[in-house]
Amino acid sequence: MARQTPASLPLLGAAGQPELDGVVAWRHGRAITRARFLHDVLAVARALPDHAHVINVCDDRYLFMVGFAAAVVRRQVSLLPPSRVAGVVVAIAADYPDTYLLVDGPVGDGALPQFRMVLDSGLTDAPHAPQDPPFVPLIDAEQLVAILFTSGSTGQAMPNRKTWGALVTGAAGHARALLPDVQRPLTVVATVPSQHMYGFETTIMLPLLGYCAVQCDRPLYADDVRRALEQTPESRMLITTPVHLRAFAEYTGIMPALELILCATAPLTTSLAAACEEKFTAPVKEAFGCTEAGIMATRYTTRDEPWTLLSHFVIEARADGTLVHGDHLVEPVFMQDVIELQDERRFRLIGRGTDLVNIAGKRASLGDLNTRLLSIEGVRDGVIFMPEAATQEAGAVVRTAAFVVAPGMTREQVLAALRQLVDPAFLPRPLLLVDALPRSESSKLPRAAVLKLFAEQTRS
Amino acid sequence: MGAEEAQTLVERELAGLIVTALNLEGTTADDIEPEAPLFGGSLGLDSIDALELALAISRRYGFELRSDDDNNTRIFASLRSLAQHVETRRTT
Repeated sequence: MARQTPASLPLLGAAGQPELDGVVAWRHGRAITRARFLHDVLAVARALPDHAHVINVCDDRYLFMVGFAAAVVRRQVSLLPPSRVAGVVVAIAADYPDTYLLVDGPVGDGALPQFRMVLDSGLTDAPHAPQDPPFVPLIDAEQLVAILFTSGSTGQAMPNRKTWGALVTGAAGHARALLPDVQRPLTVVATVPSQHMYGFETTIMLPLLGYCAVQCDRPLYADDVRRALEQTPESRMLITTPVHLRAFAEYTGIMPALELILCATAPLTTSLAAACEEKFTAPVKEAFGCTEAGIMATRYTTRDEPWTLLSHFVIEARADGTLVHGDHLVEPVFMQDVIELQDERRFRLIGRGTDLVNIAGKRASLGDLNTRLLSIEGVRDGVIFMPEAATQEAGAVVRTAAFVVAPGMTREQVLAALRQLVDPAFLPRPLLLVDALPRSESSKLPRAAVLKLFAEQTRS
Repeated sequence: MGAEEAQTLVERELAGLIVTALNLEGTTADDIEPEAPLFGGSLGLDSIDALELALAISRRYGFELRSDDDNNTRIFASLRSLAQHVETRRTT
């Protein structure tokens, strides 16, 4: 795994020498060349305000990518929040002074200085690319370029610092495993946001490395996905999650044929993978990873149950989780996922630690969610927990549930306060008001007691 | 105004579908005010719910929702507007 990272790497095409007239993005049905992209990046880099950090909340993937690259050129660190909930953005900004917000649409958070990406007024929509040969900036491999945030147990969003060299190594590593056989040129269409590590590595880093182009929309419903795919030239790769695939498998229309479907955030069942392979006439592969390490392993779901570790990682199975080593990681990463190694490069996933919740690719710690719940004025006691999934339809999203002791508050008041503090994906369903929690004499709260009370309360 | 008397038949059926499909224990179909916002309001629905709801509507009413329909925001504005959209698009 010892692969020496050069001292500096180009901002575009670090994986090789991509043609500058090749396409880096498809936006509103129009191709954007790499040359055009470089001009946009340098123009935006000149225009960005002078600050140390930038919170990039752009939805449009091209605008996100230009904004990110321009910030790299200006040596500004992009902060990528796990959620656009106002409270989350404000909390991050409080920890990183000298920050502004990079937006591509109206954002209601007036407290921070904003820079709005507007390329349509003369840059991207100019009929011809400027004639001067584009300049590809070289970026110091050690330069800190992004901080992605995940929830921790302390009530704080946990920062994950990414250098340019680490991001390039990570993305090149999974591209080597996933893309050797695909037809080029390739375009990725994705249902996941650019601000999460999975979306960032696949829809932003792969195009920057020169492996593919990106479709700028973020389709949601099955019919949106069909149309986004139809507007994208072949070959096409869909980046998505089990939650989305479940809806797509039942789609009544005809889906275009794809080169590859990549799915991550939660394990996919073999039956759903097989249904999607038929629906899209494409192999379905899964990626396994975490924000700290990026994509670490892949599997071809309908063929292999074990995961194959990517070549730039080494892992150690521990009783309570997994220790992950990689040249691009500053220090080993401990994950709460418990694995069973079959040999050095193949492993089975056994389960997850009980503190982690993963809802449609958004990850939180129950400890963190509970700290937030208890911080609400008027909430005397409470617990957010994961109910058993047994009663749910297979593949359906299981949400958190909560018991709250808050004399004088209504359920709606507690929910309204919580909505300011946590991502909507983790809002408890249901949130039940109770007089007291079933705490033991030592004031511990056994999970069995919580589940028993939950069964009693929801039976009616 | 009580929600019960204000819901039309389709609204009531759709409200039941929302409660079941989105697993909103603690909320009954009657609790969903016809004119109140479905997303970003007191129900706390998000994009995963939009996907689940689209799936449930496709199963029950036989048509596919799109997010770039010109009036998509208006369709999802409330139970009432969604019910009106369902009545014009339904095939079952």
